[in-house]
Amino acid sequence: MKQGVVGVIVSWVKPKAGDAESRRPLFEKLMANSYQQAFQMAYRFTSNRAEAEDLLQETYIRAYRYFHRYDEALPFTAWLYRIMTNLHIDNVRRTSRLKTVSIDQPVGESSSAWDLEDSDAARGDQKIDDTLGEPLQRALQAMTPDFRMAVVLADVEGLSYEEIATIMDTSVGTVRSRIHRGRKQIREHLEHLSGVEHQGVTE
Amino acid sequence: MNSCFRVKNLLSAYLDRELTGEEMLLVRDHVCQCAECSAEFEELRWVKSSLLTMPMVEPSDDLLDRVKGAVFAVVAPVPTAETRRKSIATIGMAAAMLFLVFAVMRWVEVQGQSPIVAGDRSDFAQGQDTVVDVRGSYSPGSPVMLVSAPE
Ligand SMILES: [Zn+2]
Repeated sequence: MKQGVVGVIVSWVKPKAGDAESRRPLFEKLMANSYQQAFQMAYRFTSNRAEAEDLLQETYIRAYRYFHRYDEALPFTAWLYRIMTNLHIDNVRRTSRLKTVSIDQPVGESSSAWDLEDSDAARGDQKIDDTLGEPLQRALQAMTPDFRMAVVLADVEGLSYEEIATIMDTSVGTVRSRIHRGRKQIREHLEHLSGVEHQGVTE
Repeated sequence: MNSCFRVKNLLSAYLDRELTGEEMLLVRDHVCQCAECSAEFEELRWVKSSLLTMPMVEPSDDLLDRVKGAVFAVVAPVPTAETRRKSIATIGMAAAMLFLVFAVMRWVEVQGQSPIVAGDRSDFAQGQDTVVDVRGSYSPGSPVMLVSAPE
């Protein structure tokens, strides 16, 4: 009889642990479907393969931890990018705080909500392993992080301002301004690069 | 030109087709007749199309496996404060129930009757909710209330 009682108690308590486990197959499936695209995002954000992999991993870990809060009305990637942009901002802030040396890199209009030197941009010698898109990736790297994320979500991922506003938890008006100023930063950076190259040749 | 300033700020949204009809007409008309704004628009368009055609970066072959390993090793979805509270409540209730069961058994012994062995009761083995059935002392319905699951 004691055994019977224990059995009933165990079967009554156990399904709680099983709930989490039952979410795993679904999450694995969503992961397999999204990781390549999510890796592109992470790479465009960080400009570096190792950091992109770290960011991707952090993103999925957090996503799985809070998977019970995921609202299936929203596309999984939108939810994932929301986590990723938050993590990326956190990472940039953390490394910027550690870094005291400023760089002389002109970044066009520097009137962002919070002006931070991107630590990646500071390390001008950092390896970018994607040679074809290298000048453009360097330009992304030098951007104000909020502008960079808005531009990447719009032009690499092809999302609407509305979708980007949801992901970045801001207004459509702010998205519009970030994208516009972000594109101008890229253009100015590329102009600056070609100017430097030109000087190098003539001297 | 005064409208240049206004138009320039709308050029990216114009490019992305994110303007209202009225704004769109304003920008379109202006760009047609202003060389400066037209040039700026072309530059922005060039930036957008360059980003769009950036080559894909291939993730390494084992990336998915590595990330999966990290995700499922690090977090068996951490119980939220809410679920943790629930499981504490569950354990508490289970303990209370056990206590009750033994109290009933003790009481039965005192009454000089022997409790039923689980094996004797096929309905119990089949997972019926009744935990204790003391012949004649309890109606079969009442113990069920003790073990009905919370939630
Ligand atoms: Zn003009």
